[in-house]
Amino acid sequence: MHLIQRFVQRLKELDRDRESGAAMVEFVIVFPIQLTLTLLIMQFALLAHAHIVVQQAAFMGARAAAVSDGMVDDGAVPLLAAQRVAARTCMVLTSSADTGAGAPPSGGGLPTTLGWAGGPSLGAARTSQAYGHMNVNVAHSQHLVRCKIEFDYPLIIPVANSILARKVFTGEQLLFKHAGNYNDATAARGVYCYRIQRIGYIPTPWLEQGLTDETSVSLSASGNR
Amino acid sequence: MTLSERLSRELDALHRDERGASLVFSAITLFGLAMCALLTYQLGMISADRLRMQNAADAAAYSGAVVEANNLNVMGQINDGMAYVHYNLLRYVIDVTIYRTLETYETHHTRVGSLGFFPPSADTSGAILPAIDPTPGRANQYPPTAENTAALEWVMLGDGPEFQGRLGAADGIQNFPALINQGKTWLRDLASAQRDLMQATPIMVKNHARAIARQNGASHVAFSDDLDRAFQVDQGFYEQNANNDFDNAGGGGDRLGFAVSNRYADGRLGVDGGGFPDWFDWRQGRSKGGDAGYNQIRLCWNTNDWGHKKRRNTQPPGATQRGAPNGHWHARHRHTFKLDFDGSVHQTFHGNMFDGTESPACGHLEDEVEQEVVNGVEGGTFIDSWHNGEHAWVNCPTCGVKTYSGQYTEVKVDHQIPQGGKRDGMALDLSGWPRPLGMRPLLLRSGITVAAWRRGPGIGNFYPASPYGTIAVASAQVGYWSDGEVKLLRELDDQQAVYRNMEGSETIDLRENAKRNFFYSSDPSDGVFFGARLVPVAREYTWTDTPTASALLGPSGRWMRVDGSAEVPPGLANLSSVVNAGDMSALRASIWH
Repeated sequence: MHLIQRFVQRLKELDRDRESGAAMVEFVIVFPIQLTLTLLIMQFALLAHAHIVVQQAAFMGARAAAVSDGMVDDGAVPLLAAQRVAARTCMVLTSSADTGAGAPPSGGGLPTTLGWAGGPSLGAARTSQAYGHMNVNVAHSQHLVRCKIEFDYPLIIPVANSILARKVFTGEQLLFKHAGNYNDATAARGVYCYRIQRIGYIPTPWLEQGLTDETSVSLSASGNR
Repeated sequence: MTLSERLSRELDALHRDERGASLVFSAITLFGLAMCALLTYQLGMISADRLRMQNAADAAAYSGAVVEANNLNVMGQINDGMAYVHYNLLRYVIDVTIYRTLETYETHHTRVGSLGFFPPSADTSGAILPAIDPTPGRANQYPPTAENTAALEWVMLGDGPEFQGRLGAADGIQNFPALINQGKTWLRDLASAQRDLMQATPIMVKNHARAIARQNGASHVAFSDDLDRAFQVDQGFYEQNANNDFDNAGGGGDRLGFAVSNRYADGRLGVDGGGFPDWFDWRQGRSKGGDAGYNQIRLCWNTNDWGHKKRRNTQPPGATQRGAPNGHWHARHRHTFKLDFDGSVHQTFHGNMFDGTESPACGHLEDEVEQEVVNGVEGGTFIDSWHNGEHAWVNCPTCGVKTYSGQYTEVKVDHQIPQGGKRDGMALDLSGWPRPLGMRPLLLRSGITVAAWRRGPGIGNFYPASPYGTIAVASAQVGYWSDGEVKLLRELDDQQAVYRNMEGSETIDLRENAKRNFFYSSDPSDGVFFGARLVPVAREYTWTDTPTASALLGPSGRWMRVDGSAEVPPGLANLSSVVNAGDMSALRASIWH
């Protein structure tokens, strides 16, 4: 073979070798970042899912409270109904791996199973488990029934939860290591939880009009037209 | 170069070419991201769909209950209207009778004014007019109090024809038959409309709820059959018995009687709106002051009067006897004479006390005042001749029933209203008249439960929609309406119903004759006014005492499309397969919202 030809070929081989090393370095640098971003996005997707579910739970809780408001004077049963419905709505956020459970709200005649939609019932254990994660607050004004739900949603994506905990969500109230009755193993490890707060409003069902004259807005006066 | 050599070289180059190494990983990551996005989107859609169906079910159930409440209110208004027709007919008769009687007494007064018969005073001392009394020893014994003066003015104002001017009493009496016939026609029409409305209500409710569900995005709905079963005579309603449920005092009914007498209690008697004169005790149907007062006028709405002795009306306990009329009404005035039949000192045929003739034998009048009458300021002419023969017995002016007093030491002479003697034509027989429907307390439980369904969202074949779709269930029933608020039924028995909301509670007395008479008025102060309320689906009070899933949503959950045609949602055999509840406790364990 001609010398020059061999030289050129050698250069080409060298060039290929150099690219080979660069690709490895490139991969080592990019992969963790990309993996981290992926994990973060997964975690955010789960959080978004949880937000949707908790928002739904807040609405259903407010509705249950409003609809059952006549039970007793002190409002205990409306709160109970809201707790139960919210817990049942939120049980899709629980894990079947969890065996520990919070105490379900006591009260006779409240539903403990979910038999809807023809699907398998997730059962009372999951409802109770969800209830162990949440705090339900019911209040009503003259026109609105409000149900506020705080759901401690465990961040289960490994790397992302640490990053979110240490760098993003630095508010103590929003992020903490769950030490409650989530379950024993995870409690010992400490699981980062994000406290999802969602408020559901519905109009008081006992008023004929949602708003009375005092609070209604006159369109002509405010110029909204 | 052979083909295999070339292929081998290409593959070798491809193997050593590291470009795109991270692209593979990126592709995997992107796929994961896409899945995350799809998952989030899909969960959002499912959540939105559940909210949408819940809103559809809520709106449908609430709207249906609004229709039910409105219909009940209309039926209550029809009841009210029928009572009003009854009342006005009766009032007219009563007013005419009363004023006619009062007119008679004005005649009395004019003629025996010196005796101070009329008008009476509420003063229990028996004081009457400050009339100039020529009788020796009786002059000026009645002080001219404001009360007495007012009484005098009241009666003297019209100077005789005054009562006729108020009422046209004589004409009114002759108008009774035509008026009553007209009233019967009205009552028949109202009763017919009420029954039609009762039968139409379940259909109206369902049609309305179906339309609302459709507007809110549902494709299939199912309704409970509460209303179908409740809105029937002998179920939620009953035909009021003429004699026992409607207007018979003490017979367990008494609704009209109370409607009428409560209105009289408000002083709304009188075609001119003037009400009763002050001295008139509407409860007693006579003047105030009891026996010591003036008792010459007695309006018979007391079933113990006129020989129509019935059981006493004991509601309210111990109150005055103000039972409803038994088919007709009376008015009378009464003279009390003390007769002496002892055959000794005063035994004599005294003759007619008014005209001095000797028929019939009525004994000796002991009473000083009556003696004066007999001896006659105006002799035998001051009282109309219809007193003749009416001493010992009297005739009911409206029905002609004769009351015989016998040989008692006290003879109460009831004067019928003048002109025409016995008034057989004035009988006002209410039996057989159209009656309003009565409502049973259990009807307060009835409502509507709506299940709304639509196909669940999915992502093509990758994430197929649930075959069970999205179901939401909501219940609503009628509640107690007051001041723009609707309260929820919480307790119910035959005696009372308790309504509550977070703002407070309200107890409705359902007993007969209660002040707030059940279902008898659209006026909240007199009756029940309904509004609609959303209630828990596992509501404690449904039409049946032992509700089950099938009771709640009809046999097998009668699904229909929102256009009304029967069709079960695809993949959903029937609602009972979803709501698995054999009894109420199981139902409440599976549904709460």
